[in-house]
Amino acid sequence: MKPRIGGDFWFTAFLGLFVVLCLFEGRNLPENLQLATNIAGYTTLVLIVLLLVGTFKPDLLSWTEMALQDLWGGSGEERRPPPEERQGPPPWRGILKSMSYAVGFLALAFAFGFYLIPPIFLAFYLVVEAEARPFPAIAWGVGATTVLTTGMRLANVEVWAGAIPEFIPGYLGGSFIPPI
Amino acid sequence: MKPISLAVTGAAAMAAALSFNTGARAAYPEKPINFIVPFGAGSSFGALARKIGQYWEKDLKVSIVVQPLPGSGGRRGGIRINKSKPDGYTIGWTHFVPFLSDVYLRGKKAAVDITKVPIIYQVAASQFYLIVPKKSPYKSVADMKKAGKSFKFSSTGVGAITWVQASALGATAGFPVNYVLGYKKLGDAALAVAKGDAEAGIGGIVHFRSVRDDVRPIFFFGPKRDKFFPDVPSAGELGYDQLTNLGAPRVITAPPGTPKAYVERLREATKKVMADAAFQEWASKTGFYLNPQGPQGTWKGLNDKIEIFKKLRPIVEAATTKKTKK
Amino acid sequence: MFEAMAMALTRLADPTALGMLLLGVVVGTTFGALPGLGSIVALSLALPFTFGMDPILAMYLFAGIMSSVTFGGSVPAILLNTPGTPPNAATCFDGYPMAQKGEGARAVSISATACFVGSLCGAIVTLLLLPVVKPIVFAFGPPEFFWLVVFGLVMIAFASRANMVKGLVGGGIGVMLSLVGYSEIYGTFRFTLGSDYLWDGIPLVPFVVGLFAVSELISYSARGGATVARDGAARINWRGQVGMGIRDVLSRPGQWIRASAIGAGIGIIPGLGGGVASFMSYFVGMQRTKEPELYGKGSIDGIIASETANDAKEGGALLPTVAFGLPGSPDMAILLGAFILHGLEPGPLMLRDHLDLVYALLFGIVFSQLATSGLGLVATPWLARLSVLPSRWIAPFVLVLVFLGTYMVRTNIWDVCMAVVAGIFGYLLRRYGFPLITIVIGYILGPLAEKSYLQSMQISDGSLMIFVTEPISAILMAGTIITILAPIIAALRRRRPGDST
Repeated sequence: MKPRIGGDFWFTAFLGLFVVLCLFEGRNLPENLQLATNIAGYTTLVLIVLLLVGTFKPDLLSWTEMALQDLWGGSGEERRPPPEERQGPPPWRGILKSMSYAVGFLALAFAFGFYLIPPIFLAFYLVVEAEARPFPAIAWGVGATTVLTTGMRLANVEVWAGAIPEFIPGYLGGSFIPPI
Repeated sequence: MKPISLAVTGAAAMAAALSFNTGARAAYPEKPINFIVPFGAGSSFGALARKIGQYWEKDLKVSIVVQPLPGSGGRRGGIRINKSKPDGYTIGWTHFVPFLSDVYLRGKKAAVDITKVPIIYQVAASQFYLIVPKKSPYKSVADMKKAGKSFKFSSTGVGAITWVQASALGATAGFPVNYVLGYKKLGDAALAVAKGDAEAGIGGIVHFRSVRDDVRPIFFFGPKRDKFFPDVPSAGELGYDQLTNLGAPRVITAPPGTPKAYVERLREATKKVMADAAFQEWASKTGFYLNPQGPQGTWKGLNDKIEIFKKLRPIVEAATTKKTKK
Repeated sequence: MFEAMAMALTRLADPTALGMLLLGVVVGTTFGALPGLGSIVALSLALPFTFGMDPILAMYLFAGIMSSVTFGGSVPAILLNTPGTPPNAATCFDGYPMAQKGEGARAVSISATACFVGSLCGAIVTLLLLPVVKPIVFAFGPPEFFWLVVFGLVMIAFASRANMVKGLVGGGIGVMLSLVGYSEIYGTFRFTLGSDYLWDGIPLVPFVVGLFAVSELISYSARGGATVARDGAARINWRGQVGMGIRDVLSRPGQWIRASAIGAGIGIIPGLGGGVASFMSYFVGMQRTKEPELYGKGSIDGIIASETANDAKEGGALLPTVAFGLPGSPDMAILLGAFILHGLEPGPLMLRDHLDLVYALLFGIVFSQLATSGLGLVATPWLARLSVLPSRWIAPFVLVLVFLGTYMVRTNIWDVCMAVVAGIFGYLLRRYGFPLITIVIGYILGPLAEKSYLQSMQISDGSLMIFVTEPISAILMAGTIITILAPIIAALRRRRPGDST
């Protein structure tokens, strides 16, 4: 059987890299603070290496998995695939599109604030993705945003007006950006 | 006539401009003022802010919105206050202690340059007690010194105000101090004393009164004895004058660049609150030690603290860098 | 004592008091159901409005909010796999599979009933333990705390039984992520990359909401369709399911009594927090259920375990709050602030002078839970229809709610960015079979374990004996070790029959 190096492998490798970086960075900490890093870090690293090796030697991985299951797996039930696997995960195209919506909405909201962007995002999404007619979509977007932002203002919460320079005081731009 | 008319027009324009200007100033405040509290909802700083806000609302005729903004040991709120627009509509308690300890205990650059913070008014300064478990054999600072051993203090963390006070007390009275740290609140640290997890602790009445049956206050960090525990000796009478000014000051500040007139207006409003008998009674009942100070008095207190912080720096360096496997 | 109880009950008959309770219920349920917002935000927003109010009325408002938030949060957890508040995450594991099977109304009804039962049991525990709360709180120091948390961490193995290696890796990653931030104990920064934002660590609400809600939105909107397949939806009898849900809970007293005990017990110990109660109860329930194969696939026991404990902890957490002024949960910290604002002093004096207020709060919690669950049950058939709406209509609105909700908690825009980052990370974890549940356990319990260990070492001057010499500590240790070793011994026995190990 030819080993398949797919997203699973690379993602696990990425997690491994994260742990290695933490362990490396942790060496400068006071000794007692290294304890948790080291215990969690090295254990996790061993398991990650096992997963990575398992891509090439599936027998080793399934043997370990079985042994662990035997001990703590409870009532000896069969391996249960996660829901995603049962239905087969959605194709990456759709996933990347969903992620782009989230990131794009975030970027625009960061710049232009919660008064302006949510109604546009809602209307756009409803029209393009849900095939809604433009007028009701816009009405829903504006309505929902108005209700939410009014609620926030009633509760004395400052609504994020966007990172751009102040344009309309309190509504567009000029929000305080906390240091990162 | 021309030059004169020009001058007249100019003067009139200037007068108009000025009157417009003063008109704008006189209009302050015209919308709600955000009062930032660098601790979580329900903190004692928050309670004090809300109380002062009630009085301000009557005086300034705008609503005062108290905004709790906890995080980073009080720094996050301070950063928000001092980096906000200096329009007089965002003010709050700048909790100076963590910024001071960043600079003077750790030699780091603080996120807020405290020398540039416009001070509106110092309202109170916390006054803490040294507490020990009720069944502790040590009934005074002298006992502790005589014991010739080190004492374990509970505190929130390295560089926190009670940590500074414990270190300074040990150094002044002459006994070594070590710590049990990481308690989230001073109330939790007081409980640790009550249970005997620590041999001593430091806190205000608000922090230890819920466990008062199980702890004993034996020393008061103030110049004079406190009316709540008149039997407990004060730092002043024991000759530890340098310990009397270690409490955390509660100071209302504005963002740098806030117009002087606005700062002045809020200071006047605060002074009025401080003079109010009902307010004083509430504060004393709730356990706040009012200590009204203008900018000068506030700065004097802060400078005293800076001196003490500088002296404690070697201890902090030892605590944060040493390999602590005991 | 009875006099104070009677007084508290009479106050409850007052229409203004009832109005306050109901107002609290509406606010609490709404804030619970909106992802990101929870009781902390609801309570801190309500706090200024109680100014100048009769303290007992203020207490009713708070009681209404506190007890209704958990049910509110369970509704989106069940119907959309999006926990309304972090502790509701444990409800997703069984609630959502039920909703997928078209049993959304039954699951919501189970949650409503379980919440009420939990709240009632929590209040009873509080009433019973009020006289002995002091020894309980005093008995739990850092070493006891340490073992309790280690026990919770051991649960990671049980939680990931379907996929052990990846589950354990997830737990480890969760612990590593939780270590980010400033360490008060040593005054040092760890893994903050010089960032100001990470000073307080990776914030809980954006992290958990991102991990569960945003990641779910990503796959949900890409998958299309609805929670339940549309063609089957027409035949669903939503109303009938409500009655089934109630019967499901009432016919399983063992489940909810155990879950209530766990919830109330964890509530009493200051500092353990809400998420711990529901997760711990969920895992213990998993060990004890008669149908373990159903856990994680729509088990009724699973929903009962997490929601009952989640509500019972409120009663438990009230104990140290009123008896010592030591908040048993973050909600209680705000309640404590309200006490101070109203000139009340928690502690032994409060139990002596203001016992009626304590009872008012307790009764308030039970009555408002009754109202929440009652209204919830009535609304369930309509709420459950959310699960047949196409994802393309719901997803954008939920995303907007998540953005505004995570922002509101600290009015920090970076929290929204954190939620999106956590969401993308969470999606990848799901897709490649790393259970999110173990990551959350590691993330919540990791720092508690470390802190209680370090504090214990500071108390004992570095001697490990502190973990075994105290009686409670020793018992908890023995329990943890038995939990780990028992399966090994059992396995050895299975392997070698006749061998007397």
